[in-house]
Amino acid sequence: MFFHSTLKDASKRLDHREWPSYRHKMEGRAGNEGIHEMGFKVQGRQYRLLFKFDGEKQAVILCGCYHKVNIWTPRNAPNTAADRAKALRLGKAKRHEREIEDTF
Amino acid sequence: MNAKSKILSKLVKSRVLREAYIRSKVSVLLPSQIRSLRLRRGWTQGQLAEKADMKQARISTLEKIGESSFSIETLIRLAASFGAGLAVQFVPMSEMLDWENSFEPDSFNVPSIENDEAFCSPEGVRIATSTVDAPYRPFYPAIPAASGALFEVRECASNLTPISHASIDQFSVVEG
Repeated sequence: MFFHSTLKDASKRLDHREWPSYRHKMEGRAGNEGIHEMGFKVQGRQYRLLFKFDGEKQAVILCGCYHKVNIWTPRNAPNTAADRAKALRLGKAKRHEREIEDTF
Repeated sequence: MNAKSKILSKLVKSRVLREAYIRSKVSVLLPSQIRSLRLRRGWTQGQLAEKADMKQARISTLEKIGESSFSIETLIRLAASFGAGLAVQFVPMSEMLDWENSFEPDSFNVPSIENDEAFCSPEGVRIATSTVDAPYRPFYPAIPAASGALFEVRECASNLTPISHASIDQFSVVEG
């Protein structure tokens, strides 16, 4: 429910830097692929969504994971996101568009 | 039955789901409102922190989804810093759904008290200043003199002066 609420709130804001869920642009390989990080916390657990912008007002979620301090779960989440972003860029992967499930 | 109807019927039946719904919406929309209000005022987190007598890190946490459990005291301090009011109230679930669906963070703004039209109108200023600057004046409801009313008061200059009254025989005290 937090997931949908977070996406719903983000979808209503034009500037992603104003998203309460927006964290930052990633560094390293993931950063080079233009991947950003958004997140929220539920019951003490840090959930992260790694995404990239792809077209006007379009964001593609590449990977979901947990993140605490410098520990990613799964550990290779940033690399997975980078791989998927690359595949998307090269046309080897397709986007699956879904409407944000408005909770109610 | 469409997806929305299915979820709504679940919401009616399940207290746990209602709790989850309310929690998720409050956890998302409160930080969203705080962030919007701060940005509309052109303040940094540090500036808001200073006004609210908090630390910048605390404001950062409050603006992140799910990072903080909001206390009423925190909300009061933030509302006062924004020069805004705060209405914490129980509402019908349908009202909450409508509010949440129609909430637009980009256009969300609450005027500060300095820009609040009700406080800027001539009547508003009179009301606002009379409570602050003018001496206390009790309010008497308008009671018509006719039809057996006990007394009538009229405003005369700065005093409230009784100008007529009924005979003392008619005076009574109602004890409750």
